[in-house]
Amino acid sequence: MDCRETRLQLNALLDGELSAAHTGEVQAHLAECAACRAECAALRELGRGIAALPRQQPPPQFLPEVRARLERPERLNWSDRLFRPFWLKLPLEALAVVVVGMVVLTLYWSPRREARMAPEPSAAPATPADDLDLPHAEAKRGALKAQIAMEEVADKLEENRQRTGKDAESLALPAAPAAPSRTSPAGAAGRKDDNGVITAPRTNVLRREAVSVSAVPSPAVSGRVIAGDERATAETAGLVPQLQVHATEFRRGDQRVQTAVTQVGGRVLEREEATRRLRVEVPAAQLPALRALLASSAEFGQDRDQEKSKLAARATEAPLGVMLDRAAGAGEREGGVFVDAATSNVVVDVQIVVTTEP
Amino acid sequence: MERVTPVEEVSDQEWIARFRNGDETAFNQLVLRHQQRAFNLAYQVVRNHEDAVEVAQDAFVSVYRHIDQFRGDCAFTTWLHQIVMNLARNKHRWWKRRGRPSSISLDAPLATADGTLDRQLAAPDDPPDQTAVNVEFVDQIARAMAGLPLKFREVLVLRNIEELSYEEIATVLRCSVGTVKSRIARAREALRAQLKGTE
Repeated sequence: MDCRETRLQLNALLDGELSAAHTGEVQAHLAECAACRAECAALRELGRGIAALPRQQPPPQFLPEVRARLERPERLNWSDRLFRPFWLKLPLEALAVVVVGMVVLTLYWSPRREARMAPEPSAAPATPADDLDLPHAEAKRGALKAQIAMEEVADKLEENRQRTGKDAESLALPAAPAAPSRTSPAGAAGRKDDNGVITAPRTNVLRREAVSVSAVPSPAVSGRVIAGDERATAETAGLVPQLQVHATEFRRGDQRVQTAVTQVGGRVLEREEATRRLRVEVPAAQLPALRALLASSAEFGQDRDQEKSKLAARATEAPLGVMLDRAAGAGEREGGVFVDAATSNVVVDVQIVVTTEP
Repeated sequence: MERVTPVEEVSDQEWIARFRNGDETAFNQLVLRHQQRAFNLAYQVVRNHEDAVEVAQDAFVSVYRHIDQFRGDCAFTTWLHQIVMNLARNKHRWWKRRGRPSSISLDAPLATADGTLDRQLAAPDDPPDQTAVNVEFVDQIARAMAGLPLKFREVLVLRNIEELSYEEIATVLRCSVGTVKSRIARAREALRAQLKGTE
């Protein structure tokens, strides 16, 4: 054993914590090394000095004071105060954390969800007051009410056609429910042309996303139901609703559209494979059904289909609702949809989008 | 005739058992038996008379309230040392956070409750080689100890004053025996360095 190893063991030797074998080795080295002996003596002296430090005596009243302290209520530190008794406080605190977490999550997610459900600011109903900042929830309510109004209008159109056969132009449309439209001075969204058709600027309209069937933004439309001879004007004003159908190839999409159109009692007017467009004509009341059929016939698997149907169903609420909302407020509101006065049919353009992914 | 066991001969375990059975005087006996040790240990760590009294008394209050947690797998004195050391550490940190030096200067006379100088060297009936320790040297050690970090002071007090084994020290400080061994070596080195600085 050399000096370095010996000095590492000196403290243990002096404290009696060294094994017998090591003690022998260290002592053998100390017997022949004066420097290590001196080091050992210094450490021993140090230990004696520490042990000789004055002993402090407790005050005479130590025990009574301890007893007095016992009489006082226990001073709990923060952890004791927070957690003890464990069996009672821990479950309650865990429950409180869960409840608070749920409340926070609810508060956090609700506005986001509402924002997703409500139209985007740029896709707000094509009202002339897009610059106003109405809450999304109100816009959503308005869209739903407008959809109901749309259905009422379609029913009345059908009823009127069967009963009187009169030109739909004379049909008095019911007043629209409080729509998300933000009333503003007339003319802000459109103007009348020479034929009396109000052509609207291509302002922001409600934009919805659907995985399979998506509603293409509809332009703002005129404020009354248009007679058949005004079709060209209506088309140029962008009154024809447009749908997008996503399919893996044009043939499949084409088949789906034709099947759906047939099912709702409509017909295909034009079919252009090069541009993948179909122009179809369906009863106005069947337009939501057409959208739903196209959505439900999606080809991207069952789960996807369900999701798409939901999305598509949601998508049917707004664009048509907005259009009919305009129609409902004919003369007062500026908006409308192209409805053939003679047949109560609407013309719809369907764009087939070929995509490999839903 | 039944022989009455003198108080000194009753073991700590016996007092504890009596106290657990509702004998309040058993707790008093435990306090009387260990108060000097608890107080001195607290004093060596916190280096202040009032704080040491508070720490030692709180330690016995803790013993009273948590006697059920003492499982008896170590000596009562080891458990008591553990409590005192924890409370002393807390007190030390409490003062440290408030900017008060952790140790009072030992250049000044040691203050006691009655204001008198109460320095006692080790018992006068110590062996001749211990009584031969120079008083001045002890004063130097006391000053040097005050300047040591708390973790070094703890192990030196427990080893050289309380005379605990490395294993007992490890139990009190909740660390390994190896840690105790190396910490004692470093503490003594640090103390020697302090002594050289005070010379």
